[in-house]
Amino acid sequence: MSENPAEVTQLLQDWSHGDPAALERLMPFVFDDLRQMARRYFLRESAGHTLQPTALVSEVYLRLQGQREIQWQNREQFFAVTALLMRRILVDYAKGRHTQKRGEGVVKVPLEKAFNLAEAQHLDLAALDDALSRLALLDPRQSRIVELRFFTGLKHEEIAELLGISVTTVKREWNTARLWLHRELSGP
Amino acid sequence: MKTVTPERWQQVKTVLDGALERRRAERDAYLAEACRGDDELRGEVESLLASEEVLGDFIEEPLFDLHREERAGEAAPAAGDRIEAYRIVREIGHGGMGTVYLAERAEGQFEGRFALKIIRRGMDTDEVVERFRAERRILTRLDHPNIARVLDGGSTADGRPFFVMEHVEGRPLDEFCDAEGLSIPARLGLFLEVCSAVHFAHQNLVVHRDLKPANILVTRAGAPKLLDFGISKILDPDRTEPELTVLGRRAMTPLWASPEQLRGEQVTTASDVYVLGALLYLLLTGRSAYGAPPMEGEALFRSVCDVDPQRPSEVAGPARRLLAGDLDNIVLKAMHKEPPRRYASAEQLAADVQRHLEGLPVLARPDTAWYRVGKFARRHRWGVGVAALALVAIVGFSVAMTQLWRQAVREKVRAEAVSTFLKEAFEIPDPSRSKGETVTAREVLDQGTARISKDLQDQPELRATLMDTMGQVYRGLGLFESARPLQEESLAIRRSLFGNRDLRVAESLQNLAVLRREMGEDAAAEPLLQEALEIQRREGATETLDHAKALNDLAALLEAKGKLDAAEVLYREALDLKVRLLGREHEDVARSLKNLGGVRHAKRDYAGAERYYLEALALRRKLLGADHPEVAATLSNLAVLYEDRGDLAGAEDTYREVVEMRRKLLGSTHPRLARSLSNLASFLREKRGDLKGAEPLLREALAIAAVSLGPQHPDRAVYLRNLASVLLDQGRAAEAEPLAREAVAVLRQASPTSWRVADAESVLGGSLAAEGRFAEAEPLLVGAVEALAKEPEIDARKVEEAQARVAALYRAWGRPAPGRSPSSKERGPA
Repeated sequence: MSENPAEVTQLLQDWSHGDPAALERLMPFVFDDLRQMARRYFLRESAGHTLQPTALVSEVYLRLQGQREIQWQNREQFFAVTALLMRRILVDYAKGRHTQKRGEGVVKVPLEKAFNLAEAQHLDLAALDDALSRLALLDPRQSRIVELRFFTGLKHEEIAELLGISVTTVKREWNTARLWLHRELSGP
Repeated sequence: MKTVTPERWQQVKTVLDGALERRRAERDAYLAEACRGDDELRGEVESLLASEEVLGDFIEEPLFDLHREERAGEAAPAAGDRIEAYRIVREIGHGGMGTVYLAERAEGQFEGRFALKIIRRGMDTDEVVERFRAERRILTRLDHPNIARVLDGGSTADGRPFFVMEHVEGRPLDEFCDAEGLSIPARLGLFLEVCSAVHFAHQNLVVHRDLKPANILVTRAGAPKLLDFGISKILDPDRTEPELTVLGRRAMTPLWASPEQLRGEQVTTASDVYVLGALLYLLLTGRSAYGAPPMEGEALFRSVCDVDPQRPSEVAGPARRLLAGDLDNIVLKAMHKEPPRRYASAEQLAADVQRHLEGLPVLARPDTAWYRVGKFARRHRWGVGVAALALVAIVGFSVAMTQLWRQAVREKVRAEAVSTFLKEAFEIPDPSRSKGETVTAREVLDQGTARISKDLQDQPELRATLMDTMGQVYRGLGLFESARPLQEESLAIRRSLFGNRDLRVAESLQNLAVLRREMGEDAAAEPLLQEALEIQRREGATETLDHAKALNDLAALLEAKGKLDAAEVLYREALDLKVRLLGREHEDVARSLKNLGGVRHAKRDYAGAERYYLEALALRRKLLGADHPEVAATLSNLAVLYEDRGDLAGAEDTYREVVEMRRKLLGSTHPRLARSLSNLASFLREKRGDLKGAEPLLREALAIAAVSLGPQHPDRAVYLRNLASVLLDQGRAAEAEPLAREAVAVLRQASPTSWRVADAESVLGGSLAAEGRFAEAEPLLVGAVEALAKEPEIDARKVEEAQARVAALYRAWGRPAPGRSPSSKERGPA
């Protein structure tokens, strides 16, 4: 948890000024928070319960969105934001790593693991990000589904529940999106 | 990229979805229909589909998983736990790769239980996950009645992969055979089903690599099911996988591994053929090919790689007599140490077993003396040289040696000509060699046929045998025009070689007769059969299954000609002969009983027919289990009988039983299920007037046909026509019209000379008339009646229905029917 909000705030500022190392150090806090919230939502939640975001996630979100106050309306919104957040974080991180060597002494956090995974899959995260944005113009919901699954690991059933659509629809959208994205990424 | 609008993308997605749901072979037809003329749409979809091949695991693994580390420490799933859409019922077993649970759907109306397999904790390394992924992708493509189907897959909350497969309740193959005290032929029958499953997998480029009795369960209905393609892998030549052999070594079960597998060499379909041989060994002798006590390590390795197993007949005990000869040779050929000397495919192994069951000569021959000498020489190059010199010095060119040499050469030439031919003809479908090209069975056959004529010019006897075999294969595929010249030439060659009185000539005559009959040329088939029977009688070969078959085939011809009494006599003769040869409890006997029932049915002796049908049914249930396609077929006959007899309640129950059995046996997308649904629907409509009940059945039949038969199949057209007629009877003409129109279009294309075209036109005309489009309806309706009335075989009710529609037309139109008095045979509007 965010035991030291001052440090977190500083890290966020550094990150927004283009220091990828700051992001890396920020991650343990972010991940813990997100996980805990996810657990509340999916594992022990009482339905219809409105949650107040923890300070950290809220701050990250504010940074990203440039907004003042956040009141999580529902868990769909929470996960949508989380997914978007993860996407931005990971893509930023990936871009940073192209230009800069890994910082020394940096804690190995899940972010590192996630990035290694992308690398092992020969995945160009920046290109995927672009393609996903193009897909959002064609079909916002489909793009959202990819985001939820790929950047937060939600299951088809969970996505279906969140978006209020059937599991079959999620699977169909996922399958066609994969084909489309793959073609976009392997295009000339 | 192309400019695709959001609207257009929705359209692309819809067509793409449809294509993804279909099998590859059906996609072209589907795309042609779905895109109808819109080349740009089709191009876009095809360009996306092209990605499918190279998609792999693209973005399948989430980069960040909120669930993953959260639950890593939790215990294995317990009863009641949910895993995605499933609920654990209990644990049912451990495997090398993980734990299998009995599971059911957590919610929803889906009945049924599944086996849910979770990769073992502590083993979820990337390697296992990768292997599992391979399994999941492959298995969803393997749809075969003897393969436990994989239905779903995913990952558990803690990130371990799992998959859901058909839950098979049964006993391991060897245990089942022993517990049921199965005879050798019954064991062979089960083995043939296993071969067919393995061959099917091979055709889909999947090698099992871990076949063993524990992976083959036999259900209570007596059907073997292959489980656990745990280490199977597509042998994709485009992908280099250096770890393949390493994996193979680590994951296989040593007692059930081929020599090349133990040596860590390339694993191919031939490895599965080897294990099938080892399996057959076990089934026939009750012990493994390498001795009863479990061997391990180096000893086992040496046995499998270097020591020839004892002949099954030498270790079989009481069954010895049955195994010596053919079965010994078949098992040892399948288990040959050198992959190229095994059967070229599981199907060929099965074909040889089948030939043995039918009393035909098998292809397997023991290794000749010269082969063994050669092998020995290769292994002990120097020793042989010395020994050979010594031998020559001592014995010289004795007469015995010369004879041995001649015999060896003769045998060798024949056996090798056959095996070389088969190997080269069927080389391509071996997944390890197909280099991504798709080769149809047809191409392989055509290539093989060309080789027969070319390469076997100087071996007419062999040529005739192979032509006969290939002819039967073509016939089995429905390629009658290709089969016919082969069968005819085989007959001609045999006549010239053996004269007109030889049993081999009779064999050719019989096969050609079956072919001509299937081509609808009964008149040509009859004299062929008469001649075959004549030869068999003259040669004293009347106590044979071939004779029984010829009697049966001739009876069927006579039955079709309406000579029911003569047919019954022959059927009876065939039945008695089969009972003498095979005993009472045999599937062939059941078939004869069913045929006799059919004759009585045609004679309207309903009580007699029922007796035979019930006898056939009881026998099949006993032999095959309560749920079996043949049992369903017999029930189907009974249902028609009950309907004809006026026992509507009995008929309905039986029709429904057939539908449910087929659904259970064949899955929910099998064409035969569609046909049963349509039969039940026709019955409900015609005999019960239950239009509401008929409609959903036909819609289901149509959905199945669209998936499994394709849009242009005549069966689909018939279901369209039937649904249209049900809708029309309910006064829903506007809905009926497009369906009937499509039925007409498909039938005109697929079977232009059939009465079914007119039958569908009548329904279309009826729809148009009901919509008030009288002028359009008239030529269709009148033409249909004329065409249908000319058909001699047609069900009178069809004609009456068509006539009623004509009458209804003129009544609604307010015109007198031309050429007929308006009062003649009218019915109310439909």
